[in-house]
Amino acid sequence: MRSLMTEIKKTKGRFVWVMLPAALLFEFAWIFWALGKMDAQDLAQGYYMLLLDLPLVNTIIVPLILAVVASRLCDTENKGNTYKLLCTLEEKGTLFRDKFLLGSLYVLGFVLLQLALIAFFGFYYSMTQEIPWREIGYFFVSTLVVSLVILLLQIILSLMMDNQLYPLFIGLIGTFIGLFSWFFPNLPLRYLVPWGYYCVGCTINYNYYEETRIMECYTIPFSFAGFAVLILFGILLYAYGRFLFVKKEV
Amino acid sequence: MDIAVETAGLSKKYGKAMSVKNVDLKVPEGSVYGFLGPNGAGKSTTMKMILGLVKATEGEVRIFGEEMNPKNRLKLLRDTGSLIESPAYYGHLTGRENLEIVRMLKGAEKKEIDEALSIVRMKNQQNKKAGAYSLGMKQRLGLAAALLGRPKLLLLDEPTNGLDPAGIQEMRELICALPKKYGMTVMVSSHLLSEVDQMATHTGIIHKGELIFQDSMAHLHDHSKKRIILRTQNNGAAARVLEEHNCPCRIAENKVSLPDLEDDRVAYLISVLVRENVGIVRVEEEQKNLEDIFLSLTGKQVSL
Repeated sequence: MRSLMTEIKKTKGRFVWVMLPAALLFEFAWIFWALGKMDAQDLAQGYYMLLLDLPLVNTIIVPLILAVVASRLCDTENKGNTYKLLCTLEEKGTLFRDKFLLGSLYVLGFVLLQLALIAFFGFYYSMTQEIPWREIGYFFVSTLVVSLVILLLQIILSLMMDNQLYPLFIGLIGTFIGLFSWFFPNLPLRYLVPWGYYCVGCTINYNYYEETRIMECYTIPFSFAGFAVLILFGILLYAYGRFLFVKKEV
Repeated sequence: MDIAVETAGLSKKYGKAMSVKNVDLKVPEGSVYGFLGPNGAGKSTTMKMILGLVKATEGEVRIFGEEMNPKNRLKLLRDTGSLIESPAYYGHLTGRENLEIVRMLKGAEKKEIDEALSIVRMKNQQNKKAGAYSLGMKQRLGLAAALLGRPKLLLLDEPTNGLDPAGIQEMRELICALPKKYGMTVMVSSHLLSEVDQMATHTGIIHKGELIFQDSMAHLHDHSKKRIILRTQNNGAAARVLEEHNCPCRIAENKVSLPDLEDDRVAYLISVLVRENVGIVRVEEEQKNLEDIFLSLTGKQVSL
């Protein structure tokens, strides 16, 4: 707990947390624009439309934001040459854990704020659809898990690389891969990279009727198998990343 | 004499190159141990191995008699402060906030921050951002961080690097005062012989990864005693005659070397040698300074 408190103290004046409300603001603007002209039929499936849009926007913006958050959390150590001091005061594994824990707290706050965003739009547009608790639950769990795995990956990259441009670049590439995976549903791409799992975790799909220009949303089963694989990948990634960081000489 | 830091056969190999070879250090408690060596000799690597920051290829480290291993490393280091290579700091935080982070990790009392700040004389600058500090201030901040938790042992790696002459003087005085005032043992590395000479009570000289000298500074100074050098036409005969007259001598580099003697005794021995038909070509007085000793030990130009 004491070492986690020091991690919080280190972020003073760094405004790391600001990135997440900024991302939320972007999402707010996006949703506001996307759902701006809903008719009665849209309002009857308004939550589904929200739960379809949010993972897509998350795919675009969250990996980049997480890359920046991870970099901001870790580059203070690289810039200040602090490992030689810290590693005489705490285990390197503890430092790794606390960086991830602090980042996870930000991610948790961000995902909870997204739930608040859903509630806000439901209230603002007076959506007539009954609140789909189960789908919202899946959205919460999937967004949290995917974001944590991506955060973990970015933290490992930021801790291992002195030049923080590389992790940011990798985050950007990941974002593109994740985005592509939305538009190629027949390819297994979304299952191969963590950035694609925002799409895998989305339990809403739709049919679009061009003649009538009507979009009809429906639910699809949650990919438990896919997320089991992702969680396993996350656990292995944590163990491997920690091993690499501990092994790295200062 | 109790030993604060002891290493046995400490070695580090990077690839095929041995960076540190079988170093057996003995840092006496309460001493200022000057760890001297040219750049790249293995000083920092050795100090990092002592702190467990770098895994030794071979050998062991004992701190206050207890062998260090991965399990007890942090426990042993609780009594240790360190400043390795460049100072560690968070540039976006003030000096005081930097020390607060170290204090929390060390589990030291809050009041120790003020103590450390006053020891390194930077109370007036404590609320400035560390990123805006001069290198000298950063070094002092690093030293203040090392002093938190009232350590019994301080490891300082080239703490005067990059400081101006006034800063060097100040840092030197500070280091010299620590054993007397706070009972600390200080191990300080430097590539500057004069610096070690002014600070240290004991010294270890490392060269190309090997410890080539280790003893008290007083003992090192013994090497710099005056000697009388004779150049003769028959060194063997000269040595025989001198020994017959109870004068220990040795022949090296085609010279006969005698210990420092009274003038009368020198005059007497010369007259004896002349009587014995040993041709005296030159009589010289030789005194090695510390740099000569360092050079003769390392065979390398000393950094000044």
